[in-house]
Amino acid sequence: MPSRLLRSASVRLAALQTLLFLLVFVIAGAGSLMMIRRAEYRAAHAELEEVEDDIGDLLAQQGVSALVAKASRRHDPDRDYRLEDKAGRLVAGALPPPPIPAAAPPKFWSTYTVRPTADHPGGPVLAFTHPEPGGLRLTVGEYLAVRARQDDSLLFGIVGLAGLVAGLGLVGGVMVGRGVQRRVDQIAAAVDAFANGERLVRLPVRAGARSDHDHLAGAINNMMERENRLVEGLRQVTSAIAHDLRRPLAHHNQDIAQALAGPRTLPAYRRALQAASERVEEVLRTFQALLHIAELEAGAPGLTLEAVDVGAVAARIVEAYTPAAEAGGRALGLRVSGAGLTIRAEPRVFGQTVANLVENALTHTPPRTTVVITIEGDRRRLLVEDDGPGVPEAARRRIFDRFFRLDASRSTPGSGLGLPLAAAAVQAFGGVLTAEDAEPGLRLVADFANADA
Amino acid sequence: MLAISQGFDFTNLSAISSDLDRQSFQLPRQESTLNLLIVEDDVQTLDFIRTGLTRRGHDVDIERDGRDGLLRAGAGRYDVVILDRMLPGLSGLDLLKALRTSGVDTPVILLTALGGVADRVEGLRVGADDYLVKPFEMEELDARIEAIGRRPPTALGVLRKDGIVLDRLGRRVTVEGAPVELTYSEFAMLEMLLLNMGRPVTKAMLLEGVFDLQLNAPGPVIEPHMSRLRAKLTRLGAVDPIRTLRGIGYSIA
Repeated sequence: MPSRLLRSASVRLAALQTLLFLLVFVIAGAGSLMMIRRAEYRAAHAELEEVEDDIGDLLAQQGVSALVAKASRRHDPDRDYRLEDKAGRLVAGALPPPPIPAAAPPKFWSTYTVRPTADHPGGPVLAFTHPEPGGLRLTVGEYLAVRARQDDSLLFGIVGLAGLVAGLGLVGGVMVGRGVQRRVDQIAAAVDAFANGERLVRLPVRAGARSDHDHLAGAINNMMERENRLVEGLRQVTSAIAHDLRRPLAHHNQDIAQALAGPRTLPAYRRALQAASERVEEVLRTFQALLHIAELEAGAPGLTLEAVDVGAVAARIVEAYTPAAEAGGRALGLRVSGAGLTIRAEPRVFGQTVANLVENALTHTPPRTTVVITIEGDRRRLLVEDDGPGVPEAARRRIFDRFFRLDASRSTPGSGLGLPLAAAAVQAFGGVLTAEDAEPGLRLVADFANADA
Repeated sequence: MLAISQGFDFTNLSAISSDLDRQSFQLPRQESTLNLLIVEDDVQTLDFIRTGLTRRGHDVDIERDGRDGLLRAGAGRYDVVILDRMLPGLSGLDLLKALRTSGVDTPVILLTALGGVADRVEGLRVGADDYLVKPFEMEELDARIEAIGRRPPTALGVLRKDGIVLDRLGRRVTVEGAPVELTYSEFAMLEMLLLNMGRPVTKAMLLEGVFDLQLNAPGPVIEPHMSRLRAKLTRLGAVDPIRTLRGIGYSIA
């Protein structure tokens, strides 16, 4: 878990930010420290020179005794002075003696280290030595350690603050990272579960809070819904194919078995082969229709569309089917309202589509049913309606599913692919095919209102 | 597409129909050999077609590659070329396009695999005379080869068989001299049968030729039309000239 946390994007981001912050802090800190030190050094110089002057003045005006008296009155912890005579003997003050260079100029600066005593802190001393009248020599020194200690505590404070900031950043990063990791884990687990077949798993999407994670979760949920629909469709088609093909193939097998068991005569074998051939053809026709549907659903690439007069096509279909309809005791009619209808379609495929709709109406209605094709030019629709018993609402929604057949139609011929094929074709030409209750009967509506004219 | 599209022309040209009447002639009855070229790469289909057509007495050449097929079809004098849509070397459609571009108008029957809605439409657009979806029955292919391989000159204005006279331009039919009222589709079916006299015309061919439709089961649509046509032709006691070929279709001998 910790190594995974370290790999999480937000923790890495926080760590990187902290690192950058520290780097910038160290560079800027070192620079400003150097500048502060330099300024302090200069200030120390100036202060020492001033103190030297003051002491010199005091010495000149009031003599050594006044200086000694003053020194005993006021004790400055970080500064001290030393007055010595020509021979280097201490006259007044408590500053340890600076090293005197061999060829010492009358005035000089020096830096040296002294041991700490009860009176002073010791450590490095910056000192200014200056001759005074009467052969005296005055050295004023500052214990740099005091100033350095102040600097150190300032530095310590700043470094501590920086550490606090960096630490808070890291802790914040880790906390945010944990949260992010939880969401990512959730998403990964859900996607894994989905991939392993749990089709109903969904990711939580917090209402209102449209963070990038909610956005992602929403998109993944959508994908899973869509995938489910596709898989469900595929599953349904696969089982339907298996079911619908098993029937003719089983009969086929029975026929062969019967022929083999029957009389061994050429005519008997011929008849058996004839029957077998017809059954195989039935299966092949089913495949043909399935392939057509798939092709049309893919938009039938390569189909050349042209302007098709829907009224003319319908008239041709009515002419073709009228004798068949009348032979079955049904009536077939055509009604055209408005100024006719022209759509962009492939004429043969469209003709077969209308034929499928009419054939469906003629096959699945009882005798004495009237089937009417209506063309509504103004609404750009083609309707095929019958006044038969109709289709219950639940079934109406599934009427365009492949292989869907009403129980009542199980015995009538047909593949259960005519309407799906028609729906796919109408869609390929930019329309929508829907089923409505014609009260009584079924109304199939091919709506081209949104199709190219 | 079969050569009945003139049937859509309703122009009344009866004035000249009597001249055409005198020029009309009978189609050849005896079966003669057709020179056929099959371009197909699938061995099984090729064997099936070749065996079937050879048995019917045709001279059959074969090619299995698109380019060789194009050379052969362009050079040879064939009555009909049977062309598969999918070929190695050169696709059937490209072969057909090249053939038509170079001015060869030998009738071509295109064979397409299952599916292929666009294929078939495209095939007719680039100049196929007919097409069949695999798998098909030998009778269906044979009937279509006969129909387009022996297609009569389209100038034929009047078709006759025994007492039946069909005036294509005047769109009139008489039986033993008495006019018979036919619907447009009945007229077109009779015309198709007469144009293919002596040869079978399948129900699928009638459905395509008359209604421009392709259905899995053409029988239920065609059969009622055919019985109405027969009833009208025999109403006055004439002998039914149309023979039913079980499992295949119809013919006028």
